[in-house]
Amino acid sequence: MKEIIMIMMSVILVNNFVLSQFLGMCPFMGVSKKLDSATGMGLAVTFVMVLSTVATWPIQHFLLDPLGIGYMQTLVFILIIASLVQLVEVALKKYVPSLYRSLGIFLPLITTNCAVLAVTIMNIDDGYTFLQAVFNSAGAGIGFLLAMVLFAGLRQKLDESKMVPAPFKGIPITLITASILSLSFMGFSGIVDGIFG
Amino acid sequence: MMKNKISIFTKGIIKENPVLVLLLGLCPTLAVTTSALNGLGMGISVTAVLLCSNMAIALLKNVIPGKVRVPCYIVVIAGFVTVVQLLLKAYLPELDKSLGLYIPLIVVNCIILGRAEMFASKNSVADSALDGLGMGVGFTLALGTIGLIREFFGSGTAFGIELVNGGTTPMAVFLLAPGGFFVLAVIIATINWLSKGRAIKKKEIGCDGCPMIDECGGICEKEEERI
Amino acid sequence: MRSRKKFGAYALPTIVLVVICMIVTSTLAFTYDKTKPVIDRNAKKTEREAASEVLGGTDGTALKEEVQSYGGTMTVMTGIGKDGKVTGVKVISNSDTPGLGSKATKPEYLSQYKGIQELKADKIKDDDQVDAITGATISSNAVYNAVKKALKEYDRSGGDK
Repeated sequence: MKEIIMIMMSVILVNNFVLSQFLGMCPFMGVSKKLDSATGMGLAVTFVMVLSTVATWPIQHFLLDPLGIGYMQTLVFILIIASLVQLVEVALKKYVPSLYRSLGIFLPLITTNCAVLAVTIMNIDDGYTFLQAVFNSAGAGIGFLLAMVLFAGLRQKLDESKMVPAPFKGIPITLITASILSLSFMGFSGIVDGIFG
Repeated sequence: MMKNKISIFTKGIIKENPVLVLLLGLCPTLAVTTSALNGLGMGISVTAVLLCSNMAIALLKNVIPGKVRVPCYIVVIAGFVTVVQLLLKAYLPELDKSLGLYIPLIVVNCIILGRAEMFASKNSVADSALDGLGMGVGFTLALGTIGLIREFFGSGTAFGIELVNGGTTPMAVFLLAPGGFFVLAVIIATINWLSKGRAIKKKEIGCDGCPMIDECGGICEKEEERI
Repeated sequence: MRSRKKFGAYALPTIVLVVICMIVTSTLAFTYDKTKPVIDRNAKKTEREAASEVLGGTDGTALKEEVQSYGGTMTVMTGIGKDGKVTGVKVISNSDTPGLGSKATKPEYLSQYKGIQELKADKIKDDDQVDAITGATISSNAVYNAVKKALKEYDRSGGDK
């Protein structure tokens, strides 16, 4: 239990997917402007991450490893993720249209999101058990959501500001904001270390 | 005719540099540019995959039905990425260790899928090869430059060679996440300033060049309009 | 008639996809076949080099242990001399964040383990023989546990091998 808490705190705060590991940058930059779309995207990503873990972890351990075809990991994982996303989109559209309207539109973007593939590979590389892997991916998604939401709030203010110098308008100031946010998140490593060290 | 061919190659280096102008493939850009050699290593790996996948997809463009277009592209790209993975593990294990997780992540690099959708699926094998090579070189140059800057400020070295002789302590933060964001921000701002705002067509990250535009219906741009 | 058209619309794309999958898979299998021996040789070479480094030329046993650290698994090679004391420690692989965590993998830090006979504490801070790195206690603990495991294994196998 303690390990799971440590894994989650680590991946949400210290090794935050976006702010510390640069994973999931494209949707982060493109969709983090308004709070509701940021939340929607974050939840969609978390959902896909956990689902992908549930699908890929067993495949690695019961199919790829025993057959010694570990090198197929990249190909198999990305295909699973892509198919899963398609399936989820179709299912949502049909059975829970309200959810589809708020989350479903982000789904295609998530397929090529490096964050999802990254978390499924990390589960294996870091040698997690199935339970640990599920919590790791949930944490990764939550961390992503957290970063998105924080950023949405900041960006709304930034866009209204008149004090940004011309060359920095747009992407550069966004990146600098991310840099400061990332810097502040680094402070969390001391906290986690103090609790679990 | 020749001028046309050359421009296909050169546009990827400057005018439509995938990282600095089109703003694609930011994940690896920020992650692996902790040293010039790492940046170049990743750049060359991506160029290899890009070149091969562009050519393969241009070759197969008439055979692949529209419906399964994206899955087919993914399979082909994943194939080449895995080959590069294995070759690096075998012959350049140091680079493999430094780049780590980001090597398999090449498969979801927007640049590769993007060029497959936008160019290779509609052009000849030769032109696609030039396009892939140009984009790859542009990517490599961008990554190498960012890597050099971060390495210099962060470790006081360039290409692994000590430059600052123990006089000052390097600013390690440049090697960490905040440093990455910061350096990229300054470089893009500089390009903006030097070209008086003309270079970067995408003031915000939008849908040009993003491979998923057909699927998501241009959601990133729609978001812009909502503001 | 209609069903035949539908069949064509779904069958052809699927077949193409499957064929491409098969071609790609066989190419990968081929590449894997050719590169696996080289990859294995690389891994063994790293291990042998680490082993000789931690033993520092003396006669002894080098033991490789894997422990859970911050970002995942950490692999540590411990050299134990004939007298049962640690001759050297080296971290072969780890996935900790660069910066704080990696300080615990530096040779200067690890040299404090030289000459140690026994590690009994649960956590590094409870053991006077070695220090943890402030701000990187989890990584320091991981190294501590790895060396502890190695020493235990050495004792269990009856000392000198």
